[in-house]
Amino acid sequence: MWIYEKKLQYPVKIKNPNARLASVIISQLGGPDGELGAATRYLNQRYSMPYREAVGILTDVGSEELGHCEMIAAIIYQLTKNLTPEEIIAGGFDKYFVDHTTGIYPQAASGVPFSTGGIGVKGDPIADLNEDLAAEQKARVTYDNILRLCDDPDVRDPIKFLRQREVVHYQRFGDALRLTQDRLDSSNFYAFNPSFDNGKGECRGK
Amino acid sequence: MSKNELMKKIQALSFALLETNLFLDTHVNNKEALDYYYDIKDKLGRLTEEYEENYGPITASGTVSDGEWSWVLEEWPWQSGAED
Repeated sequence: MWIYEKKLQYPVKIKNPNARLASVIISQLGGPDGELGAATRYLNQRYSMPYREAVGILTDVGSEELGHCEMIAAIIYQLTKNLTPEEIIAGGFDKYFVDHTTGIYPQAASGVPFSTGGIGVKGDPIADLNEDLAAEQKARVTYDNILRLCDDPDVRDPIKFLRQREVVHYQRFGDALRLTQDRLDSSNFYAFNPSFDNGKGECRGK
Repeated sequence: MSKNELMKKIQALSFALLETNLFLDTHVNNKEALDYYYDIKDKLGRLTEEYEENYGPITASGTVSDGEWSWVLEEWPWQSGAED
């Protein structure tokens, strides 16, 4: 169960609309390494995660990612407020606008709609936690790329906050992987899958 | 405290609380982090109460009863733009 809090995790207060920026930042809502994919990945990986600390991290980071979806949506909402048709065309926002007006639709900057095709749930803690570590780094790179394209301090500020969260989440998933490996067979981490083999069995063919 | 000042403090304390929560998830016996968590939680609780009494609810159940359901009448977080 979740409880909604009527506040952003970090303030978003953008003075100047900018259709061009909105059309790239939307990728961090519905793109391959975006926040919606992050929340979906972590919250669904929890059920097969055998260790309680790792379930805790997936639950709490997954919930934080929902707050990041809201921050990205707030950025897009404010960047596209009061745009004129001329500004929409000049900013290259016309292809988005024709289908969604200025509603918030989770898609990649390329226009590809949000898909779970870019996330993984493998049902094995080493595979899933390594997926999560990679996901945090990919999202961090996307934020670095956004910062390369953006010189508005009102936008850079919340984007820098979100970038920093990727670094912290990477650290915590690293902790979770270490705690997981501490409980596995130290001579062969892959001797069994504790999500499936109940921590006792062995892989077929070993 | 003004609405914006109070909200900024609440956001900062909420952030400290979440950050400590994530740390504790993988360091469950860390005494320093546990003490810090409960210290921040107390401060956040007091400021949240002050905010909800004066400026409007942060959670639906924090809506102060004054004859109408202000939960939906106060602005939503993405609407507070640069003019504030």
